[in-house]
Amino acid sequence: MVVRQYNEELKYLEKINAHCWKIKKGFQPNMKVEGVFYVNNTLEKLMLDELRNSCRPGMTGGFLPGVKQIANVAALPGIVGRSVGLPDVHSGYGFAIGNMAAFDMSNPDSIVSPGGVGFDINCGVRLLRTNLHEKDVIPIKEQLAQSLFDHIPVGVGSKGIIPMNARDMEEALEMGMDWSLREGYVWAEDKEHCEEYGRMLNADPSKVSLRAKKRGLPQLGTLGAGNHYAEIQVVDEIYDKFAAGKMGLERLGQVCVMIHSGSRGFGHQVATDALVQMEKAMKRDQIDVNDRQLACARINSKEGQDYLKAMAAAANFAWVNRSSMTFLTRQAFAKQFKMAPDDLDMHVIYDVSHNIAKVEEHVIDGKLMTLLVHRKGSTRAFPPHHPLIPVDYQLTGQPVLIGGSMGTCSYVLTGTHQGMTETFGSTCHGAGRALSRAKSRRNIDYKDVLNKLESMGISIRVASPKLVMEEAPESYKNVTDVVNTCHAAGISKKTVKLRPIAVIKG
Amino acid sequence: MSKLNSKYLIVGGGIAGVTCVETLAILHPGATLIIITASSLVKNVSNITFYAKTIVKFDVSETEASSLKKIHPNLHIVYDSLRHVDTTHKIAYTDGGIEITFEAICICTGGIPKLISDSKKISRIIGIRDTESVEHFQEKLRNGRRMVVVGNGGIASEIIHAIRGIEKIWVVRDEYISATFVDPGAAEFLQDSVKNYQEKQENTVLRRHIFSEEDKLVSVNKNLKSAALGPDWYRKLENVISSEGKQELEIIYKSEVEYVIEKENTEYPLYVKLSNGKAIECDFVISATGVEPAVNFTWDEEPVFGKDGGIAVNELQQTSIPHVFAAGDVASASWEHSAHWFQLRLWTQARQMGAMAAKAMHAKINKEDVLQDFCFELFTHCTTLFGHRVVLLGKYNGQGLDKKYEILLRVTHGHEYIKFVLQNGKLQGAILIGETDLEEMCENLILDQIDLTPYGDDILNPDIDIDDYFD
Amino acid sequence: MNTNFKLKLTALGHPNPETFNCEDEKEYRSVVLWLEDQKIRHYKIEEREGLRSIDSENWKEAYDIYQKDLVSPVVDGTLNEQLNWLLSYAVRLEFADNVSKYKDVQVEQPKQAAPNVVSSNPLDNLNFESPAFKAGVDRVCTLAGVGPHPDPKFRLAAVAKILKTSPHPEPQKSDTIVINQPVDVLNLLFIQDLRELQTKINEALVAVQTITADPRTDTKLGKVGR
Repeated sequence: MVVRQYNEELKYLEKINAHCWKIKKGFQPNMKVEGVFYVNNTLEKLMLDELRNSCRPGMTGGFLPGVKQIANVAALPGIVGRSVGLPDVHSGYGFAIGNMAAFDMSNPDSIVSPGGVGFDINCGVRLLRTNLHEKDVIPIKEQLAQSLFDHIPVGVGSKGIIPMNARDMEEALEMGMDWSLREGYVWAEDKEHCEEYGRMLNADPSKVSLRAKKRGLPQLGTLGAGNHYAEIQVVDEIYDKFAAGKMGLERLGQVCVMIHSGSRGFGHQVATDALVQMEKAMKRDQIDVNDRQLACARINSKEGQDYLKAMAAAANFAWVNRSSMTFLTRQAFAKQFKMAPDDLDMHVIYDVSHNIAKVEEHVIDGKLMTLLVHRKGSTRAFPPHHPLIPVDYQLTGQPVLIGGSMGTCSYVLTGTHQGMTETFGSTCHGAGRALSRAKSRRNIDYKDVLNKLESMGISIRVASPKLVMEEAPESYKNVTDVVNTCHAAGISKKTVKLRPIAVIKG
Repeated sequence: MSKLNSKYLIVGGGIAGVTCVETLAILHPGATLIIITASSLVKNVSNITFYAKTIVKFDVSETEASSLKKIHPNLHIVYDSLRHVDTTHKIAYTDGGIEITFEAICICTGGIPKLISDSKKISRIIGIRDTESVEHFQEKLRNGRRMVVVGNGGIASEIIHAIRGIEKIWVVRDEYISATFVDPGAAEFLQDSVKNYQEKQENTVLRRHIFSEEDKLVSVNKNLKSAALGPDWYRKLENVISSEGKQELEIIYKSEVEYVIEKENTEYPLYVKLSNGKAIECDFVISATGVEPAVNFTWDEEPVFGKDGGIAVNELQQTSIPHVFAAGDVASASWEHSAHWFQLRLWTQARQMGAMAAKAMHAKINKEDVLQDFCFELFTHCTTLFGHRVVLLGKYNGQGLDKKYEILLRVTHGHEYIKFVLQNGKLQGAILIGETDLEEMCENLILDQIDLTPYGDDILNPDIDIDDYFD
Repeated sequence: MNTNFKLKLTALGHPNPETFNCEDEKEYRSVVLWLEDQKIRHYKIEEREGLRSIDSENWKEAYDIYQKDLVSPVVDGTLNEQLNWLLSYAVRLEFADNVSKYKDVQVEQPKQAAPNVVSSNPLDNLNFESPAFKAGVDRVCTLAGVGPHPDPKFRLAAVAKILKTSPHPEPQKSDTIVINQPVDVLNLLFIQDLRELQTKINEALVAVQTITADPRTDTKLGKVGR
């Protein structure tokens, strides 16, 4: 890693407009293209503070600042256009979370990197609408929250609403949402409003290790892993009446349900398995990268193909998860309001993926190219008339669902033509984090504890705060800042703001 | 002599048995299912919270066995004890003379407390592990002024924590408390909490807990055959204060009980001699040193037993006799363990084994394939000690690492205690006390074996929150 | 190419069209000889000596001369193109020899598995023979620089190809509305068609669901189990 003074580092950064900075070649070694990141004034300060802190003497820790990570990605073989940092960009394993990058499929050197997808493969958000009003829900919101992810009703039989045994698992991995559809747990219309129609066709369950499959199977009668969650939200503000109308969001106070889920442990295992294979492939194919965490393989190598097929299976798994949660949500509402979900108009508005790599066609310098687009902590945001977005949104552009961190506001945006040309049709995914932040100042005091432990004769290290700030940095990249930046930069357009009234953990 | 027929027969109304019944009810709703329980009360798991894939917290309470019928209308409950199993003809015989045929049987008869040597002679030595003995314990407590608690496990810790208004002398073999669960550092952290807790309690009004009818246990069989206590059992005793009103805690480290003698005409009825030479007089001794597998019935053909005296089971909870399964404390996990799992007789594992046995039994009857549940890939336990959430993961005390490991620590008094056990830069185990929000990350780091060397101490740097770094 | 060859060889009554492999030099040469011997008969028998010496190095030379003598337009083409012309030529000769026999032959229409779809798309009901259509195509072709062809549909296809691949010039400011309005209309019509198609897809999925779904699940009622 290049170690330079902060002032030296700044020479490689250039503010090209009010919301966009360029990272010039040379900021990190071997950059094949430039980097770019989108910020407003607040986010800009966080971004630069993070860089400044990393330039302090003795700060060559393992957590690279987001801007360095974006530049390291720009040095990967086969990258085209620019390495893009969205406004919510923050430090992650290999690629920063909120970084997207595209690789030329026709270049034999181009790579695929699990770090560019993330561990929680196809972690994403789905939004359901209802025809209920806030005042209908407030009085029974506790009961609703309670019943939402309660144990899956007994008497369902061995065919759970989630794949329960090895055979179901294989099928679900191959079929994605079509599995849920076949079993009768979701509506045909749900599929239509799902990125990729809820199924990656190149999924190959035989490329997924047995350990990953075991790790994916849930405990009986549960939704499986924790950390799924749903929010009951209400429409708080409508910015684009036409687009909101196309989504069936007509009035303030209208109740929606936002479902957050991914592939969790399953995705982790798929990524881990691939990372091990790819480290070997890198030695064999002599692929050099700036950061060991950017382990990758040529797209056309066995390792690259195996990963893409297994990743697709994990993506399918995540869609099954979101479908199961959709089913439970509809069931809970139907029970509480004693009305069919149909009559409650509980349609899926859209379902987006935040952590995924896909083959897409984009125009680069006037030329149509086939690219492998990595989006990590980034949402696809295709413009109006794009053939891959549902017919209902042909005029508005693809809906983009931005979940705040649990309990804060969420947004619905739409894709724009400008985003298509500037960021490969990508935008932010949610609230971001600054690298240096802490939920609470912790008072570290461990002397007597240490005394006790030392008697065991084990080497002990103690984690303590190292970043001594002149002033405590604002810790969070606020979702509103993030969304406003995307809107102002033109890479997506604000449509609706949603306010949570209940959070339900899965 | 009555005769019953069943497809699945479960023996024991503890966590393993009840979980097995519940799981079978979901998997095979139409099948005939019989449970044999000595007590009309069975264990019930509620408030299940997932902190991560394998980290599950739940409460254990007791409930009328008949309530199980709600989840499984075909369930038949036999209030009796198992006397003999004829594995050849697939028939079980009870003490009460009932004959039950089965296609698959699961033994979940739990464990019995390991008692200190003199316990058989003296009724004032109480083994804590079992519901009957809790009742006994409660009775004793009403008249007691001073008690000796022996053992260093979670139950001993909980008794110390929960009981007020009586002098407590805690005899611990190690040089720190709670050795079974946590390391000395965590013990130090928790000990601070218990001091604080007691200070806070001093000004509260002393109040005697009134035992209601429902606290009484209906016991059909006096042999200790039902299963162990739930993590929150002591809540019943939370407000129990000795009528003498005095509370005091003394901990004696590095000591064991040498012998106990009953004395008459002295202030205290018991005389306890410790290995460090010290003698204590007290009203009673609580022995909470652990548990041994309980097999109080006979077989026509004995299955293979494990080293610890439990029934040896493979990864599908199957014993050496194909249609005989075992789960919970009675079972001895005899498959090749994965790198980060080991057996510890806890609620958590009783529940996991009960569910696994059910799945395997169902698969066997229906000739399907079944995989071992993923929870056996990583040791996890989640409990509450002294008011803190305690999560134990993997080799949290460096078990089996032959001292070739490093510890990375972060402590904030009264707030959190985080310990990582690292070997070659990879996380092998962790202890998380307090609201750390690190459960899922630690689970993934252990399972994935990601190299953490590049991060150095920063992985626990309190100024950096890394919740979603590995997402 | 091979299927094409097989088809023509079969029509000509070649003894083993199925196994013919045009990549095999020897087979290729014998088929050429067979065509001349049996069908084309351009040379007198003694003049066919050059073509008959299949194993000779001079065969290629003889073949070139033969093609020139036949005035083949693809003498400079690939071997397959050359053979294809020869086969077509032979078929034409065969047809000319027996016009009366072949002229009334009807091509058997394969039975349509699906019922005829009555299209509501006005484009499907265009009369391609009408002078108006021909004139329109002529006009567009002149603009796009597409050469003449007797079939206006061919020319239209060529125009479509050009429009798809070559860049569109930016319309003049004054023309924007004139151009954009019909584009918008077409877009909306397209979206309407797409919506109908999607609805039909959904209906088909629901129909399948009634068979595949676990019967104990009634999503309409949000109910699982009995």
